[in-house]
Amino acid sequence: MDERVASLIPFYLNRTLAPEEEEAVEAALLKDNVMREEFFRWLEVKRGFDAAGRAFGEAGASGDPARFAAKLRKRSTLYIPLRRASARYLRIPAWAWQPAAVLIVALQIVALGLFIAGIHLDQKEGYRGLSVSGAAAAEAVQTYNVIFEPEATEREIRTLLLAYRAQFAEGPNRIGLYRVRFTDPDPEKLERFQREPIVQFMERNL
Amino acid sequence: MTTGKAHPDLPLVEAILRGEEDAMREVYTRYAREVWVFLRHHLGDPDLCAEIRDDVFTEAWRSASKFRGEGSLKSWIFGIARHRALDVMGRGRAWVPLEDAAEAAPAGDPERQALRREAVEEFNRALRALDEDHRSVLLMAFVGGLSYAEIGRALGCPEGTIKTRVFYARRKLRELMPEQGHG
Repeated sequence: MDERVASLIPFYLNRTLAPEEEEAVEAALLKDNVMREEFFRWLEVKRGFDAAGRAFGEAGASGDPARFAAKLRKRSTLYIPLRRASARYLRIPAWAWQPAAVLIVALQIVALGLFIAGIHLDQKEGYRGLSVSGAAAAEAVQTYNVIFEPEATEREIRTLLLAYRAQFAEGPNRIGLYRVRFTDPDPEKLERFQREPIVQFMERNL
Repeated sequence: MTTGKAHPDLPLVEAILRGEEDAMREVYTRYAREVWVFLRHHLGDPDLCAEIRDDVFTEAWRSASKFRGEGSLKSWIFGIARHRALDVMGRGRAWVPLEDAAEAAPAGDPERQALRREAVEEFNRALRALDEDHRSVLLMAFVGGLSYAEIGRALGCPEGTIKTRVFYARRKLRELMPEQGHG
């Protein structure tokens, strides 16, 4: 028996072979009794899978696409915002991206210029602090120890931090723990952050 | 073998990346049952499998940008499912024997039904006795209907390795299973 051809039998049965491979299997089946026996053993395995699949029943097997989509919608605040088909008409046309990008960069340059000019003005007037006192600002910032899910990508983590106006303060250490600084530590927001799918662990760093 | 060119699933993945809910529903509708059966053979507990199945599709949705279109979307999803199954098995979550599955066998002559149930139990026991590597290859072929090239991509192995695993899986099953029909 040609082992190379014999190894194709399961894929002949699941109909994923290329035509020339199918022909090779069929030719071997015609002339080789041992190959035919092997074919029937594989057929038995296939029937075993089919029977087991049927015996598992249908209850809950296929899930409910609508319920799943609803679940995704709940979790879509940070990843890809899900849109219904009707929202397609609101999409920005491709040709508009280039002028939009130029406009955004120009606005950023203007904003940076105004910011620098503002600093100079402050210095001239002898202004040194932020709009809130140093103590109050320190109080507003809170640091947390956070461990992210191992499969979370750097991009996902950064997007998450951006969305919550948080920054890395330190880390990761050997166990993958980060110190994350929240500049806007609203308790409700923090609780939501803790429930994010890529956050595995979170505690206040006192 | 149909390999090398961009897969026809790519537009569907692009729609997911654009955040189109209908696209994700379509993927779920197409593959949810097969993924559930795959997980069921690995993990046993039907409720746990339903939970993990939804995790698999959530993961697919989250990391859709990683799909390169070199293989099929299905093989990519089965790759995620296998990772999740290994993860759950590694954490030692409770395993519910598959024998309860036979309760759902179709009605008919009680004697025939009992024989059929016995055959299914025998088959499931033999399958569980296989190494995870071998079991996954058979499951991907017979439950997922994947080609050997697609299984290779899902498992990150060369095609030759998949064929070797198929060979050893069959040999082991032959040792474990009496020669009788199933189904």
